[in-house]
Amino acid sequence: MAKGNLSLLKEVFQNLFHAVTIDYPAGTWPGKKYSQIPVGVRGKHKFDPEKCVGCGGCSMICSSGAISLEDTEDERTVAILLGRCIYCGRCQDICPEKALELTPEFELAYIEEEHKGGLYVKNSVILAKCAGCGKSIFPATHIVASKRRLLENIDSSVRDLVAADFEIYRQYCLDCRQKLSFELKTHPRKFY
Amino acid sequence: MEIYPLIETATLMISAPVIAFLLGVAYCYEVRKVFARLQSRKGPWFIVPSALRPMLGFSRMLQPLYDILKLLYKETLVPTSANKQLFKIAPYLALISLVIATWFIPFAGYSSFGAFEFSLVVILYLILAVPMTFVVGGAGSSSPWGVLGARREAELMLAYEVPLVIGIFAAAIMANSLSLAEIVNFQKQRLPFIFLNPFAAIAVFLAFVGKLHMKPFDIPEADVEIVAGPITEYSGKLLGIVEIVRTILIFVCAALFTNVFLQGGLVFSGSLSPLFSVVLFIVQGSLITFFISLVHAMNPRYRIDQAFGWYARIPLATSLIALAWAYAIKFMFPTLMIGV
Amino acid sequence: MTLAERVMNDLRRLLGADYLGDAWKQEKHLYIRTSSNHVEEVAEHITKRLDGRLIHLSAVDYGWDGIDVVYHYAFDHIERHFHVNVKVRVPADRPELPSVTAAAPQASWSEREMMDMTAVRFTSHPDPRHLWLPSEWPETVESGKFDEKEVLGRTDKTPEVLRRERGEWIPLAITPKAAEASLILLGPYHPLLIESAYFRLKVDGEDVVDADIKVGWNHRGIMKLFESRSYSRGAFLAEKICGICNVCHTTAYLNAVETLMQVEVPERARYIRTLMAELERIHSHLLWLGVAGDLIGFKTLFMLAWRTREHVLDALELISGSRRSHDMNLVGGVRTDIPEEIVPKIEERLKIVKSETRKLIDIVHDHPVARKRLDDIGVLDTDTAKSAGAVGPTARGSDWKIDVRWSDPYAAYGTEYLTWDVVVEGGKDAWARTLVRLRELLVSVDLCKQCLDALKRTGGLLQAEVREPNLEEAIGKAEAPRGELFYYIVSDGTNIPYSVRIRTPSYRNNAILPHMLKGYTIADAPIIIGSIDPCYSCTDRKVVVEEAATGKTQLLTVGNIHRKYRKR
Repeated sequence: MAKGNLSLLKEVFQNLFHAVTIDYPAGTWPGKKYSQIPVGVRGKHKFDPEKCVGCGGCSMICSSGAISLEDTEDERTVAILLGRCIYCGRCQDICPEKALELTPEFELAYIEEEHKGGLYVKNSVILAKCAGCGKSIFPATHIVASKRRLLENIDSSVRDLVAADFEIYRQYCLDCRQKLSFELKTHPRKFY
Repeated sequence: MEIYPLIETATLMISAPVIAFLLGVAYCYEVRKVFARLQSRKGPWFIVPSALRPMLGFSRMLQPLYDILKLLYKETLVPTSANKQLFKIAPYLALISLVIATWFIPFAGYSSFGAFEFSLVVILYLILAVPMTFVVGGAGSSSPWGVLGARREAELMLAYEVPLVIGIFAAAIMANSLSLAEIVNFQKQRLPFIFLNPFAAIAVFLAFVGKLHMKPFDIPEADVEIVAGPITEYSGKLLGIVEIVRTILIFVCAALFTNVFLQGGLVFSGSLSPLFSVVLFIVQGSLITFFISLVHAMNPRYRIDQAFGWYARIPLATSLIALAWAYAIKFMFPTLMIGV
Repeated sequence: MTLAERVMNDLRRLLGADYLGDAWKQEKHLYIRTSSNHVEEVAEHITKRLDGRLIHLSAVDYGWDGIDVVYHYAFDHIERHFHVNVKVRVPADRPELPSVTAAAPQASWSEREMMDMTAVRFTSHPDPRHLWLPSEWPETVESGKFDEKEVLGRTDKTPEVLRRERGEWIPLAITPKAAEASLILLGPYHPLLIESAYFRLKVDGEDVVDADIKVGWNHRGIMKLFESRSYSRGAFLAEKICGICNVCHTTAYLNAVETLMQVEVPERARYIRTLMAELERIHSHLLWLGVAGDLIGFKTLFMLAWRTREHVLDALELISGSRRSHDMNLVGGVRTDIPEEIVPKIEERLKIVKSETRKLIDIVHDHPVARKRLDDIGVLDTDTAKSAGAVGPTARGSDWKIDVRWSDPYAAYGTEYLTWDVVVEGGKDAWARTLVRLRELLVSVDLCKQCLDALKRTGGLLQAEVREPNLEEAIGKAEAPRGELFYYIVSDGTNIPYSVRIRTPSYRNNAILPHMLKGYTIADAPIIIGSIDPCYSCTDRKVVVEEAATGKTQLLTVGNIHRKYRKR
């Protein structure tokens, strides 16, 4: 009968001298004064502009439809709408080039006048143009990444041949590749 | 000069409610701070950290005062189906009664009307006005929460008044006087009543826990059940007056306990004794508030019928023992008790 | 003869020529198709004579072909995994069915929901009021005659006013004049409620004589949202239904989806799922302890319990990166692993939680005022609990052993993975429910430790390979901190479900509240409501109105009151 009451009395008197409140720093970047922010906290996204290839994988797998891809004449923009994002991190998991990362920045409230467009996290990649007809084809970084992946995984006996061919037809869109394959000597008949 | 006592009385009459209010604010702050610290969290800041001083000032000790001032400049809404006279006049009636009560309570020996013969009776009668006006204001507010809260307030008042009056009168019987100044004097020549009649002290303390609506007896204002009870419909200036009443009430109760049981701070003699007496008076009041806050933190809330049953057992029994003790001591040690 | 054979023989005999077919799907789930003539007899036979439970009624709309109404009965507290689902197809032009509420009171809310959400009409339902739709919504909406201005213009009319105008009955059988003195409305906004609900208490002084509940303020249309998202996205949607019980919703949903796709979750993923579910149960019960303390006015217990809960949330944050909504479960397994270096930190926090919980149990057990507020309050006797279909700690506090983890093991709860025991108390009052939750907390701490030890010696894949859905329908169940969570998914072969039906535990427990509130005072109402751990976000996930008409023989059921005072 008395055990619980004595325990409560002891507990409140211990609490009198030791408060567990951790002060929230007013306006400082998290991580400096917090007791702990664990490593895996999922906050605002950050693109590595050199690695992003504009493939749109993040947009396809996004659980809430927050990521959109938009093409203009010259560039492709990947936009993440932070208001719709549920910070699940599937986009980070699926990105083939590891260009998208969820940082621990979780203080995302902002004032519209000070940060216009703060609701979006955007990344733009430049679209390469076809040397033959002039329309936009793939993003430039995509082409570089494709070449790297192709040559990594291909058999060493044909690597140089494929590298040489790739340098030629990377400058053309799919239709022009078809039309000009004979002139550019990228057609397969050269092998027989 | 004949005018000098008049000026002194007038000064004391004006400053007594002001000091009562300011000390009440300090005691309210202490209740909040101790309540928070007992739960291992920090209450309102006593000294604000330097990073936030531009925004919050140096100290938040006057937080209860700021809450009241905020209420006083807000709009007052009166429900259309309420009884407007009763609704509006109830808080003012409580305030006037308490202000008059502060004129009779000795503050470290200083009292507006000096040693009035029946000051104890007057004080006990006037602070009874506070729960009565809650009942009237709550019942007249035409809201079901007000009616329920008024009913609970009336029942609780019946519960705690009996041990309170019997306990204080036990001390008055031992001191053979109904004047607070004489009771304090009596203790100065002998021991404080907390040693002479501890049962009375316990009974009166438990009664004060109920009077100040501290857990386990904050039943009339139980927010999860009846949304603030009798004061649900009060807003703006009227709610500010209600809060002022409650702030002064905590001072009045602490001062009453200090004067009757702890010798009212008058332990020192010598040249600087008035200053030390005042300091000791305030410290004794804050000690009472600390224990009230400890009880407040450690308990849930009773149901009203359970509270009435509890008050009819331990506090009532203790106060009756105190009464019997007073008579027994008076009978056994006649020379000790009667006059010096 | 096993129970399964006995059930099939009885149903064949009862239905006679209407026994149109059966199929065994999943592990011991029997689906029987019949016509609408015998639903009441089936319900009565199964719930009264064979001791089954009616979990839910689902409606799957097939457009011109009609509506499939499925009655889900569970026998898993007698024989593991055994469920019987009776399907009835009602035509689209006359979607009427007799109500089974008289035989099985548990069906009351499910039927009201179906009447509000779909076109099905249950004749002879004792209380066909709207539960989810607003009270002033018209009873039937004939196409072309729906006057939006007329309906929306009536939003400020109370049921009392509507009664005078339209001659409808008033719930709780009180006139508008008497309502001024004897009707107390708790909600939709009240300091006692964390989320919105509407309790109407008929009082006599401070004693509650009768009670009524209406929900529907949190409705977000989640079941409809499921029908436009693929299975992999649905797991993330399921997590957002409730703020406190995220993991159990995903686990139940994925149990159903993995059954549909006939995918086996690998062992390591099972342990991780169990660990997350048990950590969530610990944090939910500590949250409840704090809220219950707040409802009886014990603010110190509130702060102490939530201070202890912070350790659990820190452990969850170490594992998944966020305190709630962990986004860890995927179809076929889990997404991320638990690295070696955080296991000692989790174990240390579990040790702190265990010692602090023991201290809190001592404090509440010995505190005289707290015990006076909790003892003999909100008594729910075993027969009413069984007939009304209580689930979770509400039922386990009334001496009835039902627990999905024991009767229908999923993840790593089976005996081949972990050893544990179900906590049952016999007190039947609010104090018994408190004790059940606190003792369950200690069992969960032990389970977490077992999972962490098992993870050290179990390796392997985290996610199994996922294929297309194979079965047409599946049922997934999980034990939420509040009780039995039930998902019924119908697929049409694509990667988007055709229909998802959810029945949360708070749904079932809230329906018993009007019965539990009678006979106590207003001061007891908050703790009675709190002791069943209501989670209105879970209850309102879809608009389904149904009301529990429970009652013993000497109490008037709500339906009888309505029939008595209804003016024609």
